[in-house]
Amino acid sequence: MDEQELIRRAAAGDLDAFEAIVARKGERVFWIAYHIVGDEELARDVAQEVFIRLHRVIRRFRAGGRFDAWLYRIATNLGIDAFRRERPHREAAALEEIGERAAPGEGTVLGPGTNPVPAGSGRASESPAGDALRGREVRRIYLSLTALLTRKQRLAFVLREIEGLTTAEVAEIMKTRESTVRNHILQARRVLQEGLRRLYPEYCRPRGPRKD
Amino acid sequence: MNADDRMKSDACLQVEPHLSSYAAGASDEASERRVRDHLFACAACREAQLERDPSVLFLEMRRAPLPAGFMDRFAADVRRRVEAGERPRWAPLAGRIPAFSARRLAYVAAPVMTLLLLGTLFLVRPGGPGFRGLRKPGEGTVSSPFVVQPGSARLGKPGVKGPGTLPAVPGLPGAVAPGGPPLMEDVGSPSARVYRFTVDSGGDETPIYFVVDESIDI
Repeated sequence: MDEQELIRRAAAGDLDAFEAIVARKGERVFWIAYHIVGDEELARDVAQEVFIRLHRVIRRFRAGGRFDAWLYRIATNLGIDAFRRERPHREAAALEEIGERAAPGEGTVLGPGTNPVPAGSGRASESPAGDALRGREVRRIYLSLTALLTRKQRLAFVLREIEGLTTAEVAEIMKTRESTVRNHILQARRVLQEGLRRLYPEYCRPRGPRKD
Repeated sequence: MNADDRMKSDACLQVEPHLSSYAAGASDEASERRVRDHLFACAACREAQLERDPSVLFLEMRRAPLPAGFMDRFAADVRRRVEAGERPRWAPLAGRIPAFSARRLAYVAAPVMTLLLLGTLFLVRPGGPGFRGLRKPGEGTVSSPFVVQPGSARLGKPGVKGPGTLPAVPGLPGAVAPGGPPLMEDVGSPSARVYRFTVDSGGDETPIYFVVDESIDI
């Protein structure tokens, strides 16, 4: 069914249509939230709140408008709010738990835990377990370094570099100009480059030959 | 070299000339997007780019496939909460009350604020009930416990005693006329003028001194 039709029906109170919207947009909303808050459980909460709020305000959506930008703006705002609110309580424990909890298929997004990686090695084996471990390390580094970014730099970096949205889409979500978005991303990348070189130099070198 | 390797190699070769400008943030939008997408997909190029631009490390964080059933459970949870009539947990107070959504609040608050502003301006307009007037030069009075008669001698020339009282109360030197202003006298000083006056309260005189130093240029 056409997205505009789904939105129209959801706005008219059709819960099936609304559920279809959740199914279509939920994944990206979850990942946006996750890359902002850095915690799987909190990201799921945020994503659910996004849709609860969407359900309350979907009647205000003007037909023909950019629904995605509207929805992702709600997601980024709630994500930033949650990040600010929950960070002191969750950060320490959550970072250790990412990717380690629950069994596959039980809602764990980031994969099961694996053997510990040698501290600071920056290397993981080329097995799936090693990749999962490296992924966890990369997320930990990302969370520690993005703390150095401003709110806008972080948002722009998440939406364009990680989520792969276009600069125009990010500008619409952030309600700013494209040139400003590009500037935020450039600044964010410089901060991250410098942080990685200074704090995690082992991640700034190729790991050696690898088969794709 | 099989067909897949050949394709991968071609894609890498196509992107390679743009890698340095990508690292410097000097690429145009389309080129940047092409490089970024390739770096996400090609671990070999991403590894090779790490020295030049370590931030490409975080491209590894792009979306991984969600576990089977994750989105179904997610959508079902959202539907259950919507059907239960749950309100957003983190909404500000105004957002929890449907009648006071931000937009409605703005619609009500804007005219009210305008009316308040206009009402205030009406009350304080010149001639209006709240107008307290403008003081022109020479108008108004300055209240003081002392009364200086026009033409009276200047008080307190150094070393000169008297007239020194303000006002002089005939027949009662040093005393204070009942209900009258306090007595003030020049007590003299070699370097400054010193005035003393007393406040009489039920027979209990309290001396208060004023020191006037004319060498201080204000």
